[in-house]
Amino acid sequence: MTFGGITLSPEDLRAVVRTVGAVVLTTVGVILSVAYLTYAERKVIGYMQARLGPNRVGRWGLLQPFADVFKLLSKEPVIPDAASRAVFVGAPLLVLTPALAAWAVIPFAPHTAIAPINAGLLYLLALTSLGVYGVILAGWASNSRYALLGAMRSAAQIVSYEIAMGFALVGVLMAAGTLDLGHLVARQAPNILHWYVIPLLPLFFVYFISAVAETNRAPFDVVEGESEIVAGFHVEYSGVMFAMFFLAEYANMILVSTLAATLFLGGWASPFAGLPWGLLAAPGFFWLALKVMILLFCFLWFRATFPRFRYDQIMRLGWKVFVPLTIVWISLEGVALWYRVGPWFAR
Amino acid sequence: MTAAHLLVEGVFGFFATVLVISALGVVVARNPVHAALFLILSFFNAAVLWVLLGAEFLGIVLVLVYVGAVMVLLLFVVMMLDIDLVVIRRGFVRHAPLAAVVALLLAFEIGYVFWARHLGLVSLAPPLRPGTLPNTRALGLRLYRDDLYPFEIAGFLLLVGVVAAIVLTLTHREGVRRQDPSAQVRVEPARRIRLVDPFPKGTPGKGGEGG
Amino acid sequence: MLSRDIWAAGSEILIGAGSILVLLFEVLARRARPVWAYRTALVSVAVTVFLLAAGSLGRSGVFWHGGLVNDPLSRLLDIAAGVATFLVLVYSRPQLVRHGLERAEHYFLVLTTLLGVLVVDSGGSLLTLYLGLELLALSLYALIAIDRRRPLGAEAAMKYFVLGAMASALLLYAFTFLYGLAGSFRLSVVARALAAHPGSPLTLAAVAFVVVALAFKFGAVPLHFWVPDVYEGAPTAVTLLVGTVPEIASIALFMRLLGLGLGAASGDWGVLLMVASLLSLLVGNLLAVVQLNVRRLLGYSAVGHVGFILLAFQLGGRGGETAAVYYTIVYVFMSAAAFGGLTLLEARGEKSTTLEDLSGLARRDPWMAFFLLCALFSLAGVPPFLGFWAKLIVLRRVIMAHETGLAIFAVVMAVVAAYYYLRVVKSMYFDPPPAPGGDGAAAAAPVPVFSRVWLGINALGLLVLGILPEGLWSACRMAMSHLLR
Repeated sequence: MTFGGITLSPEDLRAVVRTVGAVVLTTVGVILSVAYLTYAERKVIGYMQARLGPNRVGRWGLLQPFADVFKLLSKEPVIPDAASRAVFVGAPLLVLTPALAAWAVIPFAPHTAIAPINAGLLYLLALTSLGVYGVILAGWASNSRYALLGAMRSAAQIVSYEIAMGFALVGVLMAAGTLDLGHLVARQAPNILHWYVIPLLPLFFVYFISAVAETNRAPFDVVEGESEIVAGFHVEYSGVMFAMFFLAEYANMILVSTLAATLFLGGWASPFAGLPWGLLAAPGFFWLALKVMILLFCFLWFRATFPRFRYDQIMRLGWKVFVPLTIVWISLEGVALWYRVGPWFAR
Repeated sequence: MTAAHLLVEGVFGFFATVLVISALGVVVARNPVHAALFLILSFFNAAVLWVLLGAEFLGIVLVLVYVGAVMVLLLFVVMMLDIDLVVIRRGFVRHAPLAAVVALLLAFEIGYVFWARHLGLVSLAPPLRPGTLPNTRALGLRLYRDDLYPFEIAGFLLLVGVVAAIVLTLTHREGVRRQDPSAQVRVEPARRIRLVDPFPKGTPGKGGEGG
Repeated sequence: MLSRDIWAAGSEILIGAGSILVLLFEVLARRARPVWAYRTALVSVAVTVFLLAAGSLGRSGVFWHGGLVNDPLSRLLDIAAGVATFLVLVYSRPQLVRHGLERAEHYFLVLTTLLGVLVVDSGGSLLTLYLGLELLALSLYALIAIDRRRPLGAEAAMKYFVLGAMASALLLYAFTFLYGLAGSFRLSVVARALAAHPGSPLTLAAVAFVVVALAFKFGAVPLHFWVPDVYEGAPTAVTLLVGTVPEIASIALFMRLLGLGLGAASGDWGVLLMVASLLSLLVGNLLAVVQLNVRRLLGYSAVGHVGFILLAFQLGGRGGETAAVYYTIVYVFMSAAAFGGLTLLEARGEKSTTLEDLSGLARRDPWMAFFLLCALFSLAGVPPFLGFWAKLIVLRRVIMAHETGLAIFAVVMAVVAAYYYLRVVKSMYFDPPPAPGGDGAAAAAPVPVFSRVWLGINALGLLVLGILPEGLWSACRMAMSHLLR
């Protein structure tokens, strides 16, 4: 095909169509997952608190998320008079975009990723560090005290935990020797003993707890802190724009869980790999989904169990516990690498 | 011209244009927060240009470090300030001619360097392409093997910066009530609670047996 | 290959490890008093100097792709810097303790200063020279402002920092030119590129920026403004450091960068340096005459001494450069003795700010007065002392280069310098002590013998080496005859 001197070969065209299709599929999948994650959250926490949770819309309340979405979409988006309009409207987009764009490099199954770039881990780190802007700008642009307080807390918290999280990832990439997520999973694939969670258990905990903190989930949700600053950075938002914040928060939860599963728990690899159990030992998207669900359940469990941390306690945990812990463990890992310990560090 | 080629050219042109516009925005924005946002945008565009030039590691690290951390802290500070830029800009018109002269001089210098062939610049070999090595690995080998010595000195430089900042700002004021988490954890009930029998044996009116 | 390169940086590693150890003491054993930090610092410096002198550290050669050059010059300068740092540590502790300034971070920053000097001494590429210089400068900025009860210190640190940052920026700008010309950070490659493109306008720009930046670091006129302020504003123990150890890095920078790297353009920088040297001699010495504050006086006199050093250096060629290196080393130890004396006086509880504070010192503490006398005589260039030979060698070089006019000018300025140094001596020996009843005399406390003994060694060393001047001079000549790059 030719457009004014530009040739477009059939292969190019097919690649474009395939990529766009994959992007649409992933996005829709993430949004649907978010919908049912909210449902799961209400159900799980409901049962933990000896309640039933939503059970009116559809059978077992299964259509509740859609009811919520339509309710939010039909509400009037209010923009405060004193708000900085452009930034106020742009902020939810800034939160949502990185949460969706990060999925491009996730390996869903062997050799299956939208964009298998060789610096995938760095790309993820860079993108997840962008989400904070939406929160900060939303808080600032709202021109409200509560929102600004929430934004300040968010900035401080995310900058603090970003470091521990980054160090935890450094541990993984030291073990794997690659930044390519596909290779990273493939190295863990042979059997369950190869999963990096075993040699890097402390880093896994640091990563997962930092992930909870970075997504502003309980018990680290001082950014929203209903009892102190009402709803924090998004107190002035309503309707569609509020829905976008909501969507981004849950999409981020799924993303960080997927990352934890990919980096530490072998991604698409089966826990029974290496055993002669046929289909059970085969790798596939199913295993990734299962691991992600287990981690997501932990998110909900935390919320139902722990009281909220105080701001200074969060800072102390981040700087005085996690950062030193990760540094020590990375040093130990360096030694282990030097002596090629176990199945993980043998090259 | 193939589609891929045109695409790269177009993408470069687009991001370069946005880069220049956002850099201008940093200078002319009336609101300091908007200026900071423009700066973030220009960092981002610069990162994309680097990636297009084949330096994907540097590009991503630029986003990671400058956009992800440094600018967050900057915004953190800027948001808390109530800066009246009108006051700051009062001298703008007065100093504009001088600034223009300096800018022209700089532009001339840069142009001269490119234009003057006899400066010996053409004799330089073009920068080395890392070849088959991935960008990240090439940089890692440079930093951690070939140039380990300057790298470690730079590390010391940062350490000195940290220590200097702490030495110059950290004060241990007397009489400030602080939490000491380890002391809190070490608390034992035996040292906090004293069980007192309000009615020792033998005193009249001892309760309990009457029900 | 890698391990060979790592061991070549042995002295830097030792000092770096010592500084980390100092920090660890502070963090892990907070109850252990800073004296342990002091001892650690002292031992690591002493061990490094000993191993360097014994030849077990710093194998000769070019390492790290030219980033690290170990040659006799780097060894000589490293040893000088190490000994000077040792003396600084020994002199400063009593004063720090007395004024409640003793903290482990102080010793850490002193060690990192030394580390910066060591890196510069053996820097063979633009990159390591710049990093070493910044390490040195950053440590000094922090040290100058370390006493927060002193607004003068903060002001001095601010001035030094802002001007120093400008100088660093200029230096970096020059380095971009040089890199553009040579395509490498290595000084040897830069030198070759300069030789291949003589008279290129880029070279001229680079030379101008480099000279400005280096003149600032050395404190040469017209970039000397920070010197008296820093000397006055910093805590005395820090002034002692600023006035001694960094000078070695300055001369190393001159040698490596101008002498070895930009040697092909010596015609260009020679003129600039000559102007700076004449101005330094004139301004430094004349302004020192009118100072009543001893530290400002020594500050301006330092500018005058820099004039002498640059006078030798601008002649170009090995002879002049050797004289400059010799003068610098000698100056560092004279300065260490002078400031060490003042620091120990403060440790006794006396003030040592103005000339009046020093009057009658000979009656209160004859030994201390004598040590100061040795240092001042040597600084003035009175014959049997070491400072005399330093001046003599520089002047001989200048006359050998048929610059008789310059030599006469330098002699006149040396006479002016002798006037104000001797005025301090007169005040110590012939002026009546200040009326008793002031808090100075009442609070007098003994100074640790250890520090006094080292000050004595330092001061008498100036005399003994002055009587037997051959050793140090031939060491310098040896060092300068086998330069690597």
